Parts: sequence; C-alpha cells; structure tokens
Amino acid sequence: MSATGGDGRTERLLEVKDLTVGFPTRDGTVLGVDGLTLNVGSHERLGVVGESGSGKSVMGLAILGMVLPPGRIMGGSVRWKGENVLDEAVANRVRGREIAMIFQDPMVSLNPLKTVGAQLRELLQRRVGLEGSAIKQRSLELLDMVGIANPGDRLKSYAFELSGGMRQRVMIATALACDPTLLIADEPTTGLDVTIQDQILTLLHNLSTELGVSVLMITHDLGVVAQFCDRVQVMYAGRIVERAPIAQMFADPQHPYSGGLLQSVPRVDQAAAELAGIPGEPLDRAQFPPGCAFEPRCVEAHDTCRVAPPPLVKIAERRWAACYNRPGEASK
Amino acid sequence: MNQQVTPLVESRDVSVHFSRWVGSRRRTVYALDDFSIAVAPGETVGLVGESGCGKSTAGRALLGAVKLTKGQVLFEGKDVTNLSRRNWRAMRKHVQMIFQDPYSALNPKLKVGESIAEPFMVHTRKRGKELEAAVAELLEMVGMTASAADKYPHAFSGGQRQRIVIARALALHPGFVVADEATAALDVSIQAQIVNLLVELKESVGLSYLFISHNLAVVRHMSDRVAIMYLGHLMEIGSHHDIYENPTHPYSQALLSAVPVPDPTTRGDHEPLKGDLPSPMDPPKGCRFNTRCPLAVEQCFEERPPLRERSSGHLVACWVN
Amino acid sequence: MTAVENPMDPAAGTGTGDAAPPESVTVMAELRSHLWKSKAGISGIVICSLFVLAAVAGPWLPLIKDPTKQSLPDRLTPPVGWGGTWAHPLGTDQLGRDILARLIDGARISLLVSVTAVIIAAVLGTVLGLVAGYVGGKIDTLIVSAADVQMAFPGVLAGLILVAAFGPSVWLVIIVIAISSWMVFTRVGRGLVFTLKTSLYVEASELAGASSRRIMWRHLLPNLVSSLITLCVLELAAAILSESAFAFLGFGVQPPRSSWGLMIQQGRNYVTGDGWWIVTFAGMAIAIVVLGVNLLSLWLQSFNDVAEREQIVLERPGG
Repeated sequence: MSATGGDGRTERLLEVKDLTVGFPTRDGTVLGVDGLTLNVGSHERLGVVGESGSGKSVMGLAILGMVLPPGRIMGGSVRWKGENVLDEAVANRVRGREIAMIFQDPMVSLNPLKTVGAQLRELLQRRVGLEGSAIKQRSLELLDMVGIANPGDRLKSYAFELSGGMRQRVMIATALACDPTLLIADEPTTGLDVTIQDQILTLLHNLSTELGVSVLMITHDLGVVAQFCDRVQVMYAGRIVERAPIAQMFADPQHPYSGGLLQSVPRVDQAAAELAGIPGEPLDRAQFPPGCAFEPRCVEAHDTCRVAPPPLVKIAERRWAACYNRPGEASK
Repeated sequence: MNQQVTPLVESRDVSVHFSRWVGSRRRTVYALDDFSIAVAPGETVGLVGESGCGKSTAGRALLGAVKLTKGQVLFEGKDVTNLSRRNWRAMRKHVQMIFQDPYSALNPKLKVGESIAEPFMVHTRKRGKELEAAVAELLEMVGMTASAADKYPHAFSGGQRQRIVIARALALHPGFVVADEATAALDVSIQAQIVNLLVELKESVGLSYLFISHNLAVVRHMSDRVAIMYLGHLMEIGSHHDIYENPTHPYSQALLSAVPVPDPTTRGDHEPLKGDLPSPMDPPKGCRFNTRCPLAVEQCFEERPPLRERSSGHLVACWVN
Repeated sequence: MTAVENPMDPAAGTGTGDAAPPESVTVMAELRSHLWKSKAGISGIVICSLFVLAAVAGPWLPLIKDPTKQSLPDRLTPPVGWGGTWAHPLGTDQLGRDILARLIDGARISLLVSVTAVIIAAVLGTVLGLVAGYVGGKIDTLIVSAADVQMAFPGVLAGLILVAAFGPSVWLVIIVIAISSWMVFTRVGRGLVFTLKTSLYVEASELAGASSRRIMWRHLLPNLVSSLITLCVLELAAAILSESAFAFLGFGVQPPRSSWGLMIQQGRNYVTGDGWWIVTFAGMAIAIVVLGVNLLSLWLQSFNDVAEREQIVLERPGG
C-alpha cells in the first residue's frame, strides 16, 4: 500500500494496516472493523465519516489498542512512527501522551469528584513530571489556550458545574497537557449547540494549526468534515469505501455510498432541491451479504458485487475507492 | 403571512413558566415568554433554536400538553385554552405529534399494529377486520409493508420506527402535526428518507406542520416560514426567503453562519459567536441575547425589544438591526 | 428516488423479521438457554419443581401413607439409617404418623397459603402502585402513607388481633400475609411507573387522547410485569416462612392436618430426646424450599438484567 497521506512534505505518523476487530455474538463473530487501512501524516487533519454502526468509533479506540471486551483485535497492525502500538508497552507510552483522544461526552472522561484543577495537576505530575508552581502555571496556560475565560476560577470548578461547551474545552485542555502529536477526536461536537459547535471546531482548527497537532476527526457530520478536514475517508459497515482529498470528495464522490450521503444532506446555504437519500436501511451486522456490504442499497449494483467485497484500490492520484464500478489505475 | 385566512393553529402571547428544584431551592424556569405564532392550513412553520430556547415547550403548548402561565391557544379561530379535559380529548383527533426518539416513542410490549390502532380504539368504533385494514393502509402510506403490524418494535431500525410513529400520528387524519426534532436521532441517509416522507405526506394528506428542529438545513428544506427562538423569546420570524437570504437579527445571522456547510468551497473565516447560552432559570434582563450580541447597545440591557415588522410578514425583535 | 416509492420490507432490512418466531417462543428459548448456563438457576428450578410436584401430586404417589393415620405402637420410629425401616423412611412422630407423608401434606398447605397470599398482595399492591405513580398528587400521598404505615406495622401482631377476633384458620393466615406484603409491590411498582411515565410512548398515548385507565393497563402494566414477577418469587419465599411461623404459633392450619410450622411446634418437645427427626426434617424442608425459591428469583433477576442489556445493545448499534 502506498502512501495516501499528505503531499510529500509530511512525515507519516500513524499507519494502520488491515486492522480487524471482532465481536463475538450469538450469531458468530461480527466484524466491527474489517481490514481497515489508514495513514495520518504530520500536520494533517483527516476525517473519518460514517453513519451509526459503521465502525468508526471502534476504529478510533482500536488504534490505541483499546477495544471494549468482549471485542478484540483479530488482525492487522497499527504503527506509530514505526513502532507497534498494539504492543502493550508501546501503547502505554504513546497513549495519552503522543496520541491523545477526546470523546463526544466529556462527562465520561472527566472525574466528577475532582475539580478541573485537581485533574490537570494529577495529569501534569504523573504524565509530564511537572512539580510545584510549574503545575499551576501550566494548568492556567492550558485553560487559556482552549479559550476559557477566568482560568483561575475554573480550576476550582467541578465538571458538573460547567456547560457542555466548557466541559469539551476542559477535555481538550487535558488532551493537550502532554503536547500530543496526534489528537483523535470522536464526535467531539455532537450534542453541542450549533454556536458552541462552531466555537469548538474553530478552537480545534486553530490549535492544530498553531501547535502543529494532527487530528483524526471521527464524525457523522459531513459539514464538520467539509469545514475542518484536509482529507476524508468514508466508512460503511466496518470498511473504508472511499478516500480522497476533501475538495475532490465533495466535488466528485466516486463511491455510490459517498455520493448518496452527500445527496442526503440538506444545505443551509442553498434553497431546497429534493433530497435524494439512500434507499433501504443499513444492514444488521450479523446479516452481511458475502459481497459488497452496500450492494443491497446500491443503485449501481450488478452480479459481481454479490460475490466478494470489493478491495480498496487507487483510482486516481490520491483517490481510492472500493467499488467494482470504479476500476483501479492498474486495470485501466 | 395570509392574515386574512383563519390560521389553523395560533398562539397569542403564550408564556410557560414552571418551577423546578435545584439543590434545595425552588427556581422558576422561564421556558417560554409571550410566544405568538400562527400556522395556516397547509403551511409548514419551522421553529429553530438551541437547547433551552423553549421550542419543544412551544410545540407542546400548541397541543395543549403543557399548562400555560398566560396567553391563549386558538384552533381554527376558537379559543381552546381553557377546554375541559374531555373536550381536549376530542381535539386530539385534529392535532398530533411526532417525536425525536423513535426508540422511546413505541411501547416495546405492544405489537406495532396495536400501537398504530390505539387512536382508533380511543376515538372510533373501528374494530376487527376494519381496524386491521386501516392499520395496513397507514403502514403502506408510510412505506412499510402491512406485515409489520404483527411484529414488535425491536424488530425495526430507527428509521422504520420513525415511519411507524408517523403512521400512528396520522391515523385519524389530523390537520396539524408538531414534529419535535423528528429526524434528529437518525442517520443522514435515513433522515433524508423521513424528510421526504413528511414532505410527501403533507401534500397527499393535506397537513400543516410545526417543524421543530435545531438543524437549520433541514428546516430550510421543509419550511414555508421559519421562526428563530432564543431563551424563550421569539427573535425573528419570516418567510423561508427572509430568514435564509436576509437574516436580520444578529442571533439569526450568527446561527446561520455557525452551521458547517457540507461543501469545502464555502470555507471562510468567520468569527464564532462568543460565550455560552445563559440558563433559562436566570435569563438576562432586556434582550435575552444581550450577553452574546456583538451589536448590543445600552437599550438592549434595559428593555426587551418588541417584534417589529420589517417587510410584509418579516418580524424582528432587535433594537439595533 | 423517494422512500415512499420504495417500500422496504422491514424483514428484508433487518433480517430479524419474517423468519423470527413469535416473541413468546423466542423468550422461552432464551430463558432455557440462559438457564442451562446457571447452576443456581437450575438448582432453584429443580427444588421448586419438586416442591410443587410433592404438593400437587403427593397424595397420589405410591408408598405415601395417609398423613393423619395414627399408630401408637409405631410412635417415634427413627428414620432409615438410624434404626428405622423403609415402612417409614423419615420415621414417625409422637402419634406414629409418617413424617414423609406429613411433610408432603404440609407442602400443600405451604404452597396454597404462600401462592394465594402473594397473588392477592401482588394484584392489590401493583394496582395501588400504578395508580399512585401515574395519577400522583393527593392519591399518591395517600397510598404512600398507607404503605408506610403498613411497613411499620408488625405482621404477627396483625395476625394475633385477627385470630383473636375470628379464630384461627388458613384463610386468615393468607389474608394476614397478603396485607403485610402488598406495600412491597406498591413501592416497586410506583418507582417503575415514575420512570416509565416520562417515556415518549406514554406521552404519545396521552396525546392520542387515551384515558388514564388505558395508559395504566396497556402501556404501564405490561412494562412492569417482568420486574414484578421477580419480586413475586422473592415474596413467595417470605410468605412460606411466614406461613410456617403462623402455623408454629397455632394461628393457621389446625391438627390433624399438617404444616411444616405445626410439625416443628409439635416436635419441639422431642428435639433433645428420642424424636430429633421431626423438627429436623420439617426445618430442612422449609430451609430447602426457601433457598430454592430464592435461587429462582435471583436467576430470574439476572435473566431480566441480561435480557435488558442485550436488548439495548441490539437496539442501539453504536458508531
């Protein structure tokens, strides 16, 4: 697999290859993530977009070797600057330090019994090794960095005293405490009000530019991807169906699912045309057809699609798609 | 618009305040203040706002489902504010609701057919074969097969459940339906199906909607007129065109520019609105948007701006713009 | 293409549709498969089945003697293994009656009293809980106060008063047990209703104009049943114990019919001397059945939890 990340200037940070995560169920093992390949370069904002059940959140956790039992990583490799992250020792060194993660619901990650200041202090002592007044200094600096007014007062607050947007800012501050190189953001603005989402996205955008942090943005919202990311991968049923630089994806989607998604979203800046939508429902994970998982909903499907899942192939410069109707460069 | 036509449903200066225990103190939540809106027959009015703006309360107020602190609700020109419980029950045939969470909106212990049949059981004498036929017809109307009636809700996905919820709401041919975040819990590809279904049903059955949503793009797609709310106050109301092409209230403008458009070519620098939403238990005096408004002047902190007409049917509550 | 022109067969969509058997069958199958994995569940079921079998079919079983037939020459025959014979496997009591036969006869009384009492308590308590939780207001306050008073009132005292007024009888015991346990169902039912009544399907039904009675009966009650059944089983164990206690005190069934409590009362004079087996077997019967019923309720509870958890997982696939 050749590089898809960046444009030559960037150094490749995260390389995920053929990652497969399985969940045992009564009907046999269901693959939450199925042979996923992904690269993130330095100074890059990569979006992973998919609907519920697409496996995007499982992927985010699996990259850090964290899969909720009974699920387990069944195959593939995750390399961080060449080192194997699936190795527990490497994971412990990298997780929360070089790679930080933020989630949709900050209440889950923040300790409800400790003040913001206490949590930051613990983090800075244990992970960064700061001591004494340097801790307070750095805590204030972090809160200031994420745009929290009166950081001194906020250090004394508990998570439940903060608004949703404020909590998300605090979580970003804790993620930034160890100067990460990559930030995995799993639906960081879902559930926030529009104006607050706007604040958080702008904050993340500015931070990634100023600090040079790469961001892996996992989201269901095509608007967030379009406004925030440099490059995007579309997931369906645990697999990547399309990967492209942001402009090309939105101007000229290649996979029928990506195209369908784009035509399903109404736009706030344009008068209503009819929404095309995608017919049918996402499949139950245990009932996948042997062929392409999107085949039952696909308008372009033909017999070949029912035989085996199409591989993700390079169809043009920096563009990849997993569809039999989009033959790769090699076979052209 | 159409002040000549009698509105199907109308609210006049409706306020809803309720008290809630916060810790050991009883506090008043100012959910809705002086809310006036009219929905004409066959019209879809979009009601947009962020959390705590009172949009759900407004919808429930029009359905007589919350106690009004003050104001009136009219249905086809008749005051229904003080109807007895029994008379409201009869009104239920004419006004209905579609909910946000299709998982909680269906009783898991009832077959789908039984859920859809409930309005008939309550209001009509249809039973047996006749009832079955009516349920089957409703299911087909929302794009499901009649065989769905014999299954339990857990056999269906979110989108299918939302179709079932819609079928139940439309059972008795109501003229007016409040859709409260009806597509918010659904994936985009399914959301599109449900939006299309609602638009089609509006035409084929002849419905009026109050379409409540935080999603400005979906509201744009659905609505003839749009109302924008903030902390219990109506900020701006106007035609679809007025609101999206010529937003006048600074909050409307900020809200519209905050929505991420699914098109990278629209990227541009804009200054996000500062600050957090104040609590509806402690709303600011004067214009409720004054804590975040970039244009606020002294008057905004003292006096609530009235809704004033800027052009025909376009009303804005702002001292500055 | 629009969705309406494209009716989707829900069965084709999820695959759980047409092929799936009716829900009751799948639930039974689930229940069975879950049962096999639980040793406690199996033990509970086995003990309870034996108990019910003995109670229902006891008198018709071969080799079981008449529990009231006295035979003074055979009085205080020890059980097999302690010098007794297979004629009386568990020995005889002070009047020469067969202990095994009397245990089985006692099981009938235990089952009759406990099941009837729990059914009365459950029906009464659940209805009151539903009304208190759904209607609320003054009615709620009234019912909750009544439950609190009942909680604080000792059941034995109630029994004493009623026996003093009406004389001892089995029906009296049933009523006393029922009125001293209805409030458990009221409290649990009311708590569940508080949660359930905020669900959207209840709101939808209210908006459809359904009556309070209809909402309680069609929407709330069915969603309480699984929790309340578990509670019933748990209360059953308490009722069996109460019945024994009342029989021991002489409030319930009267000789010559037998009851486990009565056997302990009658046998207690012989415990240290030449008739330890009377008390021992009756006591063991009580202990084992109560244990069995508790195991069953424990397992039912865990099954409910698992079923609910799986339901959630199945219904809301995460990202």
